[in-house]
Amino acid sequence: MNKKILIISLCIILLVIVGSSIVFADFHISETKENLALKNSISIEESYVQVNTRSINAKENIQLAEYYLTTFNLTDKKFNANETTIAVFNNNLESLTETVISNSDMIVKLNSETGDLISYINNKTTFEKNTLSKAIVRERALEIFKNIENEGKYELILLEQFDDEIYQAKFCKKYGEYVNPGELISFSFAPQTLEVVTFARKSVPFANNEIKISESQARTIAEEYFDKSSKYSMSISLEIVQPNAGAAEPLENNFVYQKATQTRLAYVCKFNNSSATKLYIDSTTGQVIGMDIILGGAF
Amino acid sequence: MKKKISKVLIIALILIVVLQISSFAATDQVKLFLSSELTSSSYATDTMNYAVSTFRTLGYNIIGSNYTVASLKAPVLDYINESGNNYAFFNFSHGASNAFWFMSDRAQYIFPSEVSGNWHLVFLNHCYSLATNTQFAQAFNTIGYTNRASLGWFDEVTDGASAEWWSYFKNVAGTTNLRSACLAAADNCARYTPIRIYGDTTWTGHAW
Repeated sequence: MNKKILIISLCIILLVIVGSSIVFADFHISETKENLALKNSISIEESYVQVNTRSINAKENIQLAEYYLTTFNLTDKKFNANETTIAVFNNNLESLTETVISNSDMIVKLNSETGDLISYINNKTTFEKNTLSKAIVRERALEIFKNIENEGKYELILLEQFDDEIYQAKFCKKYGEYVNPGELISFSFAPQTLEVVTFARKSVPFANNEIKISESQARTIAEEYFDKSSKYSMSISLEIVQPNAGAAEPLENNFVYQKATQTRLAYVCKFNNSSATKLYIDSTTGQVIGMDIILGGAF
Repeated sequence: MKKKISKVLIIALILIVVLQISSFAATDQVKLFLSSELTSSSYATDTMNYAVSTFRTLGYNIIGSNYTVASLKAPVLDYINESGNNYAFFNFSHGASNAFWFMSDRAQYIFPSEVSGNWHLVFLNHCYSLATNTQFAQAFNTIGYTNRASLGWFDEVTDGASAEWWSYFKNVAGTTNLRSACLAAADNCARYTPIRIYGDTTWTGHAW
């Protein structure tokens, strides 16, 4: 009798386990790993992968991080070795290896190979409200920028209020009359106290490619790329752009396109259609190297 | 002896049920909608994949297989207005400050007045979603509470800019407060990414 009760009870337990697993489990459709050969694409899981940090020199990395924090005047906070976490990630989207040093106050990312500062995040949640005029805020943005870069080849391309405490500023490197959006120094800050909230420096080099095709050739290429019958007017300008996958086929679930490792001079053709389509045509090869559309619409 | 075995088994049963519920039942659910008009954009699918990964990192239970392609407003409003654990929402569509839509037919526009509920994390991925007014943030009821926020764009945004911003946000979301994470992602973008947040900017965005 006891055995019978035991067997029945065990069956009930098993049923409960299986039943509740079915009810509550979050079933993800297993991704097929086919079509992995898609050019320049990568799975989300592979896009940012933590790697082994056993061989990393914690002291050296903390010293390097603090060097940047002090030199760039980003914060007066320090990393205490006992309360600091260090992790290394392969950023396969951008072909970089990043060393991430963090504590409860901040997160610093260094390029593991060059030692360059990639980004800084201040975890502080409140700052003094800004009462300064935009002209003074601009001066303060330039003041912060001078602590970081004094080469004189950068141009302020964006200064915008984020909320009542914080402004965002973005500087890009200039090549003659063009700015390279791949080489940027960008930060958000509290103008009232000059505290830096976030900072990033990107160094995607400009290929310095020649202009071998004319504007009218670019116009023809753009018109031919789309249906010739759609007679949308277009404006055209030469700009440095980061080639992108905007004109490529959408990828299957879980896959994304990798980022180009250099920027190029291109004709940017802006169509006067409902999506304000921008088509990027390489100024040397005449190839379509990117596209963007807006997510707005008539309302 | 029989009584003892029964007691032990009942306790074991209760323990198993409790453990199963706590292991599998996530409190917050999210459903991510992509406009059928934008499925041909590689940036749309990139953004959706980044967003799915980000919501998973933040501990949300994703309803459906990754994301849902929508044309009509009805299934979207069904999700928005249904009671239960639907506490997070994401759309990738065309739109403006006062409406968003999954197909360009005015009858299919979703207006703030059609939104109800007490949402935790909302991302409105369309142009001007959080522009000059906060109608949608108010409609989703994320303003004035702790651990609730609406995120979106203050200005016009392109599909490429959205994908670029999400590619960075994915790696910082949950590691710092939402405001710093949003700003850090925007710092890295070559394109214009006018991100805004209304609600608790000090929250990390984790499901609760």
